[in-house]
Amino acid sequence: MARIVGAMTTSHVPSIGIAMDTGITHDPYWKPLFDGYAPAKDFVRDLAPDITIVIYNDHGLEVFLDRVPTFGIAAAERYESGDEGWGPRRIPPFQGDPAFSWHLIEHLVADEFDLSMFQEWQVDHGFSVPMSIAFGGRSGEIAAWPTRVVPVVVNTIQFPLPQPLRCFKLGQAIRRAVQAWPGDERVLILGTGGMSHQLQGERAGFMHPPFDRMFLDMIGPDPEALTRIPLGTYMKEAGHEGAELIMWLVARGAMGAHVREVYKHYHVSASLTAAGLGCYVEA
Amino acid sequence: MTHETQALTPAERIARDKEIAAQLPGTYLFDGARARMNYALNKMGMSLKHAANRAAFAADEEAYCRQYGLDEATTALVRARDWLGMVQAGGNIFYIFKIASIDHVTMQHLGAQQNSLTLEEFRARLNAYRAT
Repeated sequence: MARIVGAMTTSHVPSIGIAMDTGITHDPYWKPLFDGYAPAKDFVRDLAPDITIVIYNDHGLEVFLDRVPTFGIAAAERYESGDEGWGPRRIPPFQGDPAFSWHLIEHLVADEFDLSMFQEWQVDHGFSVPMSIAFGGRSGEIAAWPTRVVPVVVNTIQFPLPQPLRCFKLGQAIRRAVQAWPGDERVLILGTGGMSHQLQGERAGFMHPPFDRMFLDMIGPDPEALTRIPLGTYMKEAGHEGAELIMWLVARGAMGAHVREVYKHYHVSASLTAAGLGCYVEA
Repeated sequence: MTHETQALTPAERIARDKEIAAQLPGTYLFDGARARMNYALNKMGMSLKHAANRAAFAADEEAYCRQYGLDEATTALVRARDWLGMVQAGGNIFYIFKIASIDHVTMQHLGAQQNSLTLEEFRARLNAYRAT
């Protein structure tokens, strides 16, 4: 069976991608953040995943308000970085694994998670920035991605968002589906989004480091407690856009009951967003 | 902090989350009602993911807004790059941000303007969170 060898969770702010793509990661503003990413890159390299399942939300590249999948999964041969309005990131395309994606789809739907299915799919910063953090050099530099990918999208734009507990359970179902795959692939879970931030309204610029630190402390040992925080409270404590932290719960659900935190990092801020990162293996 | 300690009915859960959201200052919960409020504005923003559409917008904003069926008030908000006004009128920050990108303006500019602050003042406010 395929095995989930670890999880990394990280913020996915566009400006982190721009900082990498324009080579300013040593500038004083960005240096502390990118210095903090170095151990995570070592962690991912040592795990050597064959497949990476990326949990993220689309921000208006593939998904408009005309049709909003609450959960979706892509099964394409390859995924290009798309043009979100400021030109595509110039990074290599991502190689998919349609057979593995369809296996996940079959198992998740049989497990009563009715995800939308995509065969043509571009990825935005929510996907590509965490991939660059995990697999790229300091400035995201990479000749070819060393892993195949499966994009899993969660709606965090159009309320109602899925409940935190539902996100956690989706992760648990992903875990069962991975374990049912007959191959011996090593699978990394990449959870993205957050941490606290708000972009809209007069509350734009809101961040909340005490809440973020609590969340970082709890997600390893007691994720169930985080699933009992109401969505409204996520908005209150982490911001209207910070509610996307629910995607970390998908990633955590895909890990076993007990995990060991290998590394974490927290930095205020990447533009308007408090940037957090965690690396986990099964205990 | 609030934790859900007992199972709620869906109606109770909806009411609770909407009540919390309604009490948040300067926050415009992007729910179904808001998604219907100014669909045309968001659709116009979404269209700008195509470079050809960005060129058309840049060439004649007013005509482009008309093409997408924006009303006069919303067109005026776009013309003024009134980000808070657009949010209040039903714009979703991720779709209207594509308008900002045409001007090569960052999310920090949008944050500053929504707070009636200069960019420097707004950045100082962001940086002050480091001490919290």
